[in-house]
Amino acid sequence: MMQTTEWTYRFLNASTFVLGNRKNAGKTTFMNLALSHIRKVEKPAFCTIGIDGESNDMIDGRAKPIINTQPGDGIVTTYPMLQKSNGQFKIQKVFPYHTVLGQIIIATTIREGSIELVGPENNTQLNTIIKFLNTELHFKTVIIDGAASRITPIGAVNNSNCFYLVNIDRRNLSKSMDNMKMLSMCSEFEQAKDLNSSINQVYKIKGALTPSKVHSIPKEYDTIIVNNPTSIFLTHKQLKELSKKFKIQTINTYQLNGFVVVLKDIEALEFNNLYRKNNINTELIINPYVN
Amino acid sequence: MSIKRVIEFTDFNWFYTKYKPLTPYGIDHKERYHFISTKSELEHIHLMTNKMVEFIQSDETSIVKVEHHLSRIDRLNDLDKVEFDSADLFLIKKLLINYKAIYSYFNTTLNNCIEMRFSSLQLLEELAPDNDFSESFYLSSAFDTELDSIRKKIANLNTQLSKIKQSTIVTLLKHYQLDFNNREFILVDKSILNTLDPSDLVIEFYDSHMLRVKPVFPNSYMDGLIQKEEHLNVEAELEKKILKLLSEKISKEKHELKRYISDIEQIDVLIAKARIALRYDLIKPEFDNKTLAVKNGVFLPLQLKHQELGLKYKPLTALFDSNSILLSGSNMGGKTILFKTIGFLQLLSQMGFFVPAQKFQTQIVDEIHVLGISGLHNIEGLSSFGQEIHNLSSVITKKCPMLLLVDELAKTTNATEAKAILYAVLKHVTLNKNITGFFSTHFINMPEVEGVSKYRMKGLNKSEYLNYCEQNTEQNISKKIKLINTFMQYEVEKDDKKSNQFDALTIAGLLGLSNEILKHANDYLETKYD
Repeated sequence: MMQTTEWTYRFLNASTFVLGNRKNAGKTTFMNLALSHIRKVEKPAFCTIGIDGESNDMIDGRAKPIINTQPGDGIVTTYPMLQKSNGQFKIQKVFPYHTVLGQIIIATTIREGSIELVGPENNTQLNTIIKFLNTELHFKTVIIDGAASRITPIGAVNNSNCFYLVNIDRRNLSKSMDNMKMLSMCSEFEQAKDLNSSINQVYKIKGALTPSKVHSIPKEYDTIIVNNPTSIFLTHKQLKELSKKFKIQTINTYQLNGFVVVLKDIEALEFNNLYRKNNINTELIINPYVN
Repeated sequence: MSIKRVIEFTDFNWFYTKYKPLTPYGIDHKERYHFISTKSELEHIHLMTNKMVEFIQSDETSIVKVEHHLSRIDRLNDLDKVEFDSADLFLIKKLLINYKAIYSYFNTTLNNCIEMRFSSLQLLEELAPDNDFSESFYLSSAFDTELDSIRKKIANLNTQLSKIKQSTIVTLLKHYQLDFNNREFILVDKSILNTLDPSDLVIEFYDSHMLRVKPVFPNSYMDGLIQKEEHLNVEAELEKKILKLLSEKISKEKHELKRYISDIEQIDVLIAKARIALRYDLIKPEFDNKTLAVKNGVFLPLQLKHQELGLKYKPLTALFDSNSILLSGSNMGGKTILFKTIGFLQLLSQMGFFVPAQKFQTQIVDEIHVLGISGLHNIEGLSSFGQEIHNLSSVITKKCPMLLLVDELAKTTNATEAKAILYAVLKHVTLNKNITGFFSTHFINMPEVEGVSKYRMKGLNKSEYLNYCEQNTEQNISKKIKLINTFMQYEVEKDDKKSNQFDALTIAGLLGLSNEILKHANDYLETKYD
């Protein structure tokens, strides 16, 4: 289990997506915590993917999750959001990307305050924005509030990785554990490089990988390629069986830094034992808000 | 006129992707594929490109600096609106900074030619009241003393609030060993509930094991927050006032700003054109000729392919003495390449580029049409002959100056009628001097048409080829094609009617047609043409 100082350093010098297993999983709360630790080392920049449509944060129960920003931080949002904020900002870049909540900009914080984030609407725009933060404004550490259960954009950004936030209670424990096993296993798949290679016996799965498609994979192939880990609709058991027969590669890959688990009605020790029993290799942060 | 077909036929986008304006305005201009048919406009662009080439050659460093500033420019939002926000002001300030810098790098001569003039120093200074001329913008306190004063009050309150918060956190840490540093709440074990004082902590249910606790801040903290909110409202009003004033100033200068954008577009496009002219050693085309002349004209996309395959590329040199050209020659002898070269050079010229040649003399046309080339857009339901006639009819009767490139007209119908159609069209072109028409044919003994100039591709160098074949045998098809290319003389010459060139059989032999069939074919030719 990772300690706070240890996981803080995982954010440095990289673009890190914070993803969640569902809406209101507590990403913003975790981002605020992570940012406060990162600031002890260097100034971070942060953004989100798309519009933050989540109405409240399940961890602190607040009506609208807000990001606290400190002088020197880099933020990606829109001008109307700057106007709404109690902070003060200096505009560093205005992009020709228009969302329903305004034109995307990058600003640096002059006076501390809270800010609502609005992000670009596609991966190309996100890549351009992060490149600008890295190369023009020299923000080496960028945190991206990712959309719930969407890991696709991670592969689109160079030198990126992710933390996956999971809210777990008794009711979703088994399902969450299965989901974590799947995500962990998928993060270890190799990236499919030469898609046109005819040297290897490579079978490309069109669309989602479903149980019925598994049966239709010709046996003469030794490798199968799936477009995206999110398009695998198998249980962990089914995927594990499949991986014994074929080498599985994905076009889009992601680096999973760790799971951030927020438990309800489950003891940390009990969960930790269960996690180990399931042989999940990914690193684990349990209840970062517990004293 | 749509130039889509000639772009496709000449593989023009191969060249166009190498032409790289740097600003959003230059890129917009590029994407419009602006085909120019006004002499004065073309001559101005070519003159300016020439000046830019000279400028690059004489002061490369300044041009690199100009390019740096061009690449910094972002697209401005609407300049016709009444109220501008800080994002708009950022974009305008950035434009002014970079325009001013570009203006300073051009020498006086060039500035006069482009008519650059920077007259917004005052506006720029007003957008940077604190002398911050970096590419950034915010409503600085230097804009207004009241704003400065209220921000100082907000800053003081922030300091006070921070002190109160920190003091509360220190007390809670001391009293309960709960560290609220960097945390707005903490989850604690339910077993300590009885030790928690509600006047120190907000205590909420979390789950059956844990409680969520938050610090209770003293009333002075709330008072501070209320006061801060009031100050923030005043700050917002003052900011609005400043934005209004700046908006009025910008509205007054919007015509100047639009002119800067127009200048930027022009400079960007000209530098990109000059860069590509230097990269490919291009020269200025000449437009006053009634007929077309090329000296060592290069069809760049093909030249590159030849280089990749290790083949020798022969540039085109030709002086066409009529507006109606009939071109004959062997299969694989380069007729289509000649058309592509002519189309490519003409298109480049009229899109304001210099051309890859030692000399290119032509006239300005309104339209360029490519007909009879398979693989280009077809109308569903029409046969290839029907398609060809439809395309021909739709352009040939137009009265505007045009360049027509027609490959083997009516080749899909019977030879007798095809010859008649070709004869008639050639005659039409000779009578309509607005058309410059190039027609390729395989027909031998086409009747003479007054005003039509006949040319032919030189074809295979048979003696050298046969000499080579006596000593070598080649089986591989790509090597065979390379061999044809090696011995093919890609040159155009006046068709003097003294000899017939029958290269097709030689090429067919090289490509594997049996000796027996070839003998029958040669016997037939001897009987017919001896």
